Formats: sequence, structure tokens, C-alpha cells
Amino acid sequence: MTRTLRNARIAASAVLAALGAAACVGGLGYGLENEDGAVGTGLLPAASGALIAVLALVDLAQQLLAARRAPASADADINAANGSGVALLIADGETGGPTDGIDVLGRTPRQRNRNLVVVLALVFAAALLVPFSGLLIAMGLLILAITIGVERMRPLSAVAVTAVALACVWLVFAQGLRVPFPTGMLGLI
Amino acid sequence: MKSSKILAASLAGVAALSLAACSETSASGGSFRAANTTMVVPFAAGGGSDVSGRTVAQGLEAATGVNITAENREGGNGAVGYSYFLGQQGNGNTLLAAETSLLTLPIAQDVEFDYTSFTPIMKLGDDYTLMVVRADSPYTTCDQVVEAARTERVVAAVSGAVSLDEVVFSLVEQDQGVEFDRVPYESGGEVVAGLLGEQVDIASLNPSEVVGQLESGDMRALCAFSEERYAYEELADIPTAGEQGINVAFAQFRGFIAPGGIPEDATTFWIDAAEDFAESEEYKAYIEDNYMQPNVAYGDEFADYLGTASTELEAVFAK
Amino acid sequence: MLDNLLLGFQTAMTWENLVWCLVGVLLGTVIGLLPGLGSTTGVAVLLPLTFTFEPVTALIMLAGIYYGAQYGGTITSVLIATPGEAASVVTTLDGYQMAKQGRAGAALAIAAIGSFIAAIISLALLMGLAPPLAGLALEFGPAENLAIMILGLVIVVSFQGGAFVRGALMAAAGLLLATVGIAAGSGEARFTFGNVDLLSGIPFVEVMIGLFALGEVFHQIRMGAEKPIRARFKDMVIRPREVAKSMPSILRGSGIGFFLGMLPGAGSTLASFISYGIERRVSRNRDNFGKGAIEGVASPESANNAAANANFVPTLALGIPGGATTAVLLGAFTIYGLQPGPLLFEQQPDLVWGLLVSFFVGNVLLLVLNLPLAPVFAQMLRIPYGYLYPLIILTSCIGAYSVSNNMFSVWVVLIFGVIGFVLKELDLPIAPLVLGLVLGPLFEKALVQTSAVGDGSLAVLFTRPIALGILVCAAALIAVPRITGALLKGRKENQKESVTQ
Repeated sequence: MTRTLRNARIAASAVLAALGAAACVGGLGYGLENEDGAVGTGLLPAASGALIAVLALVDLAQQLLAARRAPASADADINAANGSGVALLIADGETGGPTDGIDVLGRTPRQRNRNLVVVLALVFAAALLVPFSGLLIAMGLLILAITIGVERMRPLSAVAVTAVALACVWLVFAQGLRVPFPTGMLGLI
Repeated sequence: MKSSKILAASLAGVAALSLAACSETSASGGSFRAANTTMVVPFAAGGGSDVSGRTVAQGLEAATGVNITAENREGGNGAVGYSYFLGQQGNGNTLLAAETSLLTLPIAQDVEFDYTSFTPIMKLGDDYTLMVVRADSPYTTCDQVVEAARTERVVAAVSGAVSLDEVVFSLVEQDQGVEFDRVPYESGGEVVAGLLGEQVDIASLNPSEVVGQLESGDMRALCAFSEERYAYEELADIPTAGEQGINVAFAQFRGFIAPGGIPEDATTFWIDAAEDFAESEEYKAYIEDNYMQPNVAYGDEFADYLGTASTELEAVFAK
Repeated sequence: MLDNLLLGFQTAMTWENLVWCLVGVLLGTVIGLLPGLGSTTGVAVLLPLTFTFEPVTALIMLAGIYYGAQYGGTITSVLIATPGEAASVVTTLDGYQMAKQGRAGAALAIAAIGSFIAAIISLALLMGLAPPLAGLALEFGPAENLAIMILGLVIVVSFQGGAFVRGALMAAAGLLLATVGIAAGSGEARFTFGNVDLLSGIPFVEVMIGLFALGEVFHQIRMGAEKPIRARFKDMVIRPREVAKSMPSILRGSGIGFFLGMLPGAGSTLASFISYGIERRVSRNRDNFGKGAIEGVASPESANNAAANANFVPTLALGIPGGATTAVLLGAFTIYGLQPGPLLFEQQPDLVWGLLVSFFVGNVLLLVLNLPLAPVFAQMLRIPYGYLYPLIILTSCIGAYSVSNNMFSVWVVLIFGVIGFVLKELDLPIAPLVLGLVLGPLFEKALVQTSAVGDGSLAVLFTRPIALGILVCAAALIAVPRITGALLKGRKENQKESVTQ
């Protein structure tokens, strides 16, 4: 799986290089100098964009060189140097850490990856729901969905957790700090 | 993401319209009934707009008995707050603490509103600026500054591309045919630091921003960009720019507005409340604490002022 | 001087002021715990509550909220890697690692102790030297500010040791993100694509919540559940030896923090980043930095608190805000009918000295409250992550919304949550990105101002001695490790050769 990780990094560097170049061009469009010849609107975007493009290309070159030099295990070095090698190994799952990547709840890496995708989808769905249900209700539904659907809590305790959490939030933010939460089309809370 | 925002905005608009419709139908006589009201402040808490918004909210609360809460919706030099307010079309229970950015934003930025999009209620007063220099500056009058600018480099601090001091310096330039170099800052406090730190030669600031430095003798005021001299004791000795042959007077206004398309009796309701507020001690204290001029205007009169000031500003930025 | 101190104590030690100081400190801590609400928002939101108070009482309470909120932000930085404000970003680096090792209690305790010592040191400086120091701060014009920001960025980029390129890449990305919105100087809109919300730029508080809080949540879901941390009580409390070991870092942090905090602008954030960067090079324990070194918590936390106090130097002595929070406080001055300016010390001695002494009182209160509470807060980590993370998502979204009363903030948090996750997976450092984003607008402003002062040229940067000195330091930071590294390598190779010969 380290190969996938390396490919991901190479792809990320390439994307960053492209973004930097685009920002640089966009910055040039705003003008590097103003009419008095002083620093203009476009200088910082153009300069930082160019810097990103150059650095990302250097990083890309380093990755490719490392890949060539040590096709299989080169990543271990980089990971160790950054102090999170173990994390990445577990995260990558297939390398088979000491426990074959199964966590204390008995979830396999594949299940965990699926959980992540579900949580991400739920979070964005909740945000899209806000214009209809209001923020607090959308958030309540989100917690319910995560606790029951992903974390497999018993429905009763999930409802209790959600209710208590929402009540606290409502008391502190809506009542204490007078934050005007959007109530959506329902117009409830 | 963008489409959801448009959706949200249009839904909010629909909700507001239906709310307004309800309130109209429920009171069959067509009389507007004020309920819990929001005073939108398009700038961060603690700033000048926030202070005026909260003062007005308290004053109107006292005058009407309606519960009014201030709400900060800051960002984009006010653009975010005004744009939100645009979505409140027809909702007589929201107000906004307005100032000159209502006029400068449509000129300088790509925004969807201008002053005609809203219902002007009350202009609280005017805040003029003083031209100030460090105590050790060679200049003692504004015309000396102008003369100096004809032959050498005079550096002025401005607190933003469409800020009040930028307007004032541009007006001086147009009136006198000179040019100042500018160093941009982002607030009055920064300008004070820049002036004291000898980064710039002159600045044009509201009296409330410099009165402490004037009293301590760290700075001197050369002239006031106002039609008449200040009546305040501390500022009465400062000549107007007009007295020194510079025909420039420009003030930032502060006031409050309602959304466009609100029922007529809602407009009347708020104007009546505003007239009561203008009589109060709180209003007087607010004006005096901030060294402002109590030039009030209501409704149509306020709208006329906005029209004139807007034309004037367009001329300044058209160059 | 002594008379003034006495006057200060008389003002600050009345029952009323003591109680409101305590209330401020407690409210501040709670506010700092809520994501999105840092000291600036905290002071601004609670400002209207104090309108009916005596001015000095109101200011004492607001100042209490200020430093209370900073401590609250530290708690979340350590426990769930979510900094309350930019200044506590670096605290997450070692604080969160300590928490993972069951040492959250110790991390929180050293933060409280470091902050306290820093507060006392900076208070002494503030009381004795505020007016002359304020004059010194004015010497720092745009050129000097620009130079010091360059130094800060260089230091952060070199945090990562070997990964210099990736650090620099992320810092540049932060600067680029910061260019979205209305440009400093010209006032033109950049990269906003017609979106009104983007006019004010990409809001960094929301970005931080996304990158740190949600990024970590997504990362943890993928990594899988671990056994809840079962720390023994012995590990929860701080050992006297650790306090002694951290003292040099605390003292250095206080000095750097006080100095940078005096300068109007990004003082506090730069202070914590720079002091951490320096500790990482000079501390005896430098090899453990990033892996849960207690000095890595002590140093930025003391710097941060010293800077918060030093922020009051220009605020009280000149009436110029030292930072975002003191700007709100200055706004409050006018509401209470006080005229901030150079004469404040003379005209309102009871207010100024009462406020200064209340800082001391407030910091004593914070220490007394937090030393025993640190292990209690740390118990939070016993909650299984499956229960904890839905709540982190909830408070992140709600907290973000309440920053601006705008759904835009929530979207920013979600999008940067995903970005934070991706960066973590790819091992790209987040701290330089945040510093770039925070410094970006200030950096550009200083750049525009420097060139405007110099009539279009940036040469001022090299003709003003302070600015030049700082730039030389920055250059040395990049060059020296490389040169010494090359020399060492060369020597080793020589030795090898001589051995083989």
C-alpha cells in the first residue's frame, strides 16, 4: 500500500504545482504594480503561486527520485523521519501491522474506510439540509445518524446523547450568547 | 455550494415575504405591528458601527417597547452585512446600522445593492475629519501642506481604498491640483501608529480617534474638513479647511435603515420612534462622546442626502 | 511607582472587582473551550453585559475573559488538537502528543504554570516600562514588521527538520489562500468569483476548526479506535522535575512573547510560533520536540501569555490596539466614556493600575483553578472516541456558525476538514499553512506599506538597521544548518577515509 501512498503524494504535488501555476497567472492578471509603481494587487498571489509551483515540482522530483532509488521500502524512511510512520502504516491497512490493522472494536481497515466515507457524506448532507430544517435540527439528525448508523449505539442511548448535546448547545449558544441560528423552512428552533 | 447559498437566500426571502404578508393580513387595517426586531451591524463588535448600532437599538427599545437585539454580520468592509440585509426585503422587523460604506461599496465593489435598495429611516449625525500631523512637524496649517505638496513628496496615511480619509484627500487634490503619496492602513488606530512612528507626514482622522493624542500634545490638528468650526471646547480652536482656502468639507454619516419594500406604516413607525430617540439623553451622550455633529434627517430627507452624497462620491472615485 | 502599585491593589482588591475578575476568568475559560470562540469573539460578545458596570470593573472582567479564553483554548489544543486561536496552534504539536501518552494533565499544568510565570514577568515589565517601551514599539514600522514576519515564516518552515520543501510549500499555500478577498491597499477584490462572502477572505478561525478538529476526526475514524487512554494518577500530575526542566523554555518564551506582543499586529501568533521554533533548536530536549516534549508546550504557552499582556503596552500607553482583542477593548473604553491615549496613565491612574493589578489577580486565580482542574479536564479523554467525535463535529459546526452568524462559515469548516484530513494522510505539515494564512494579510499590508513609504522601492528593508538585522537572522537560520551539516558530513567522510587508509 505504500505504493498507493507514494502515488497519492506524487499526485498531490502535481496538483499543487498546477494550482500554484494557475494562481500565478491569475495574480499576473491583477497587475504586479499599482499606478505609483508600488506593490500592486497581483504581486503576492503571483509570487506565492510561483513559489508553490516551484516547491511542488521540487517535491515531485524528490519523490520520483526516491521511488527510483528504493522501489519498495523508501517510504519507511520518510515516515519515520516525520514521526508518524506507524500511523500511516495502520491507516494504509494492507501492510498488516502487529494486529493486521484491526482496531479494538474489531473493525477492519476496509470497514473503517467505509465509515469515513459515510461520515463525510452525512456531514455534507446535514449542511445541505440546513435551509429546510434549520441548523440545530440538521445537526441533531447528523449526530443520530452517526451514533446509530456508524457507531452502532443503541437507539435509546443515541437519542439521549443527541438530546443532551443539543440542549447544551441551545442553552449556551442560542440562549447564552444569543446566536441567531437559521431555522430553515420548518422555523422550529 | 454556491447554488445552496442562493437557495438559502431565496428561501429566506420567501419566508420574509410570507411573514410580511401575514403581518399585513392579520392586522386587517393594514397597520404594521412591530415584533422582536434585529439590528444588523455590518461590522465587527466593538467598532464604531457596533457602538452606534447598539446605542440606536437601546434608544429605539426605550422609545417603542419593542425588543431589539444587535447582531454582527461582518465581512468585506460591510458587504456581507448589507448583502444579507438585501435578503430581508419587506421585513419591517429588521434594521441595519448604516454608514458611508452603504454609498462607497456599490461604487468600489461588485455588490448587488445600492442605497436605493433600502428604506432610509434616520441619519444620526455627521462625523467630520481633522488633518493632523506629529507635534514636531514643520506644518502649522493645511495650506502649508498643500504648498509643500506642490514641490516635494508629502506622504498621507489612508485607512482604506474607499475610506473617508481617502475621499477627503482626493477632494483636496482635486480642489487644489496637487497630489499626495499614500500609505494604506486598515484602521484609525493603525494610522495613528504610522503617524507617530514617522512613517507618514499627514493623516485625516475623526476627532474621536485623535483627541487623546491632541490633548497630550503628541499631535497637532491643522484644520477641520467641515463647513463650520466645531462647537466642542477641545476642538473649537481648529480652523476649517475653508478658512485656509481649501474648499473641502466631507463627513461620514451614521444612521440606520430598514429593508426595501416594507409596508408604509412600518416606515412611519420607525421614523416616529427615531424622532423620540433623537430627543433622548442617550442620543446626546452618543453624539458628544464621539465628537459628532447632530445633523439628523429622517425618511425622504435622509434619502435625498444619500443621493447627493453618492453623486459626490462617484465624482471622487471616477477620476 | 509604589504609590501607583498600592493604588492598583486598592482598586483591584475590592470585593466587587475580585468577583467580576473571577467571573471573567471563568467565562473566558468556557468560551475558549468552545470551538470558534476565541478571546476576541468572547470579549466582543460579552461586552454588552458590562455596559452597566463601573468602567474599571467592566475592563477587569473583560481582561479576565481575554486571558481566561486563551487558557480555555489551550485545553482543547491539548485534549482534542483543536486550537482556540492561531496563537495556540503550536501547542497542539507537543500537547496533543502528550495527551496521547496519557500526560494531558501534565501538559495542561505546565501550560498554566508557564502562563503564570510569563504573566508575572511581563506584568513587571508592563508596570515599570510601558511608556518607554511603547515608544520603542513605534520604531517598528512596516519594514521591520515585514522583516519579522519573514523571520517567523522561515522559523516555522524549518520546524519540520528535513522536510524543508514541504514546510515551505505549505507556508506558501497559506499565503496564497490569504490573498482571497479584498486586497490590502488597492481594495480590489481578488479570487472571489462574485461571491460576497469571499470578499472578506477565507476566515482563518473556521479554517483552523476545519483543519484541526474535523481533520483529526476524519483521520481518527480511518485509523480506528484505540483503547481509551487509561492514565495512572501519577502520570496525570506534573512532576516537580518537569517544572524545573521547563524553566529555561518558560523564561525564553516569556521574553520573546513580551517583545513581539508589544508590536501592534500579529504579535501573539508570531510569538508562540517563533518561541517554539527557537526552543526546537536550543532546548536540551530538542530531539523529543513533536513527540510530546513538555518544553514544547511550556514555551509557546508562556510566549502567548506574555504577548497577551504586552499587547496592553501600546493599548494603554498610546491608545493604539496591540492586537485584535485589545482593539475590541479599546472600543469598550469609548463606550465607558474613557479617552484612550497617551494621557491615560496620568488622567486615570486608578483605572490603569487597577487593571494591571487585576491581571496579576486573574492569573493567580487561573493558576489556582487550573492546577487541580487539569487532571479533571484530562479525564475527558476517557470517553470512547466513538462518542466523542460526533460531539466534536457538532460543536465545530455550531461554533463556526456563531463566529459570523453565517452558514458560509460552516461550509468553510467542512471543506477545510476534508483538506486537513488529506494533508494529514499525505504527511504535509499544517502549522505553516495556518501561519501563512494568518500572516498573509498582515504580510501583504506591510509589503504594500513598505513599498509606499519607499516610493515604490523595497530598499528600505535593507537600509533600516533593525529590519536588516532581522533579515540577516532569517537568512542565517536557513543557511547555517545546511553549512554545518555539510561540514559535519565532510568531516565524517574524511574520518572514514582515514580509517580505510
